[in-house]
Amino acid sequence: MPAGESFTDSERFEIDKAIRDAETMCRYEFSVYVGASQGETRPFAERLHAALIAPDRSVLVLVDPAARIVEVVTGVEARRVLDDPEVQLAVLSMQTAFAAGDLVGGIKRGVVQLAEHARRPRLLHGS
Amino acid sequence: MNHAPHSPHSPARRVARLLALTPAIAGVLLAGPAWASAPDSWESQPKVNLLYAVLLLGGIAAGLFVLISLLVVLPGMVHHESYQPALSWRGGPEWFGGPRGGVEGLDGAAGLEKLNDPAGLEGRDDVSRQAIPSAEDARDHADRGGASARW
Repeated sequence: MPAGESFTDSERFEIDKAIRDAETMCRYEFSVYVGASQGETRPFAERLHAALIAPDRSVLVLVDPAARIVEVVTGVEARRVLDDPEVQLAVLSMQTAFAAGDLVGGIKRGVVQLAEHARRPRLLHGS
Repeated sequence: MNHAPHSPHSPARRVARLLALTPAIAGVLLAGPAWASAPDSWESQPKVNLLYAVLLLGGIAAGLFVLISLLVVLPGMVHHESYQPALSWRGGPEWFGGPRGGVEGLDGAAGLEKLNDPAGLEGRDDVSRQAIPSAEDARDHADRGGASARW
């Protein structure tokens, strides 16, 4: 298969597994869209995010390999434990891997990193 | 009284130089195979064919070279590289962990275009409006967060 064509079955399995592991880790929903974003990326990603079953508890990762854009959308609830600077760290990690040509590895790393940030235990008491 | 300086080409100096080199030259010339004969208890080895020896010794080295090269190259050949930054992505959209049926499953055919243009769904009965977020729905989630980057 020529380079840049699509994912292999094993790559799809790896991404699926990373998503399942992330959801198990933090109890939030993860979704990864890989493909062209028609129109502006952010509104398109937000619409994809809104189409998920539980958008408020979901994190959507959009990767547009042709335009070389990665976009992460976090739901309202997910954002409470996964703030934007933490998302930016995961995006940077993915960006580095994508620039090196490791699309699958970048997606896996980014999803896991997002889940690790999102599993931060909520403080039930404080000063 | 003046002493004549020793010329570097004087006979004494030449002899001294030769004598200084003699042990080194003699060591090289005399160094050779041991003259001691093999003990009688040793089995007499048959003569080894020179070609056979070269093939055996060189062949093992060459074989190891080929084997190691294959071990290095083969994983890269077998492992599928589906994406290279220098090449454009030609695969279709894939949605992992998304709605059942992916983008196309949102409303049947051409879901991607409709996802970008939900206003165009007005008056359509064959479209599942529940699955497709409208622009208003998207605005309702204005508190969403996230980040983006380019590479």
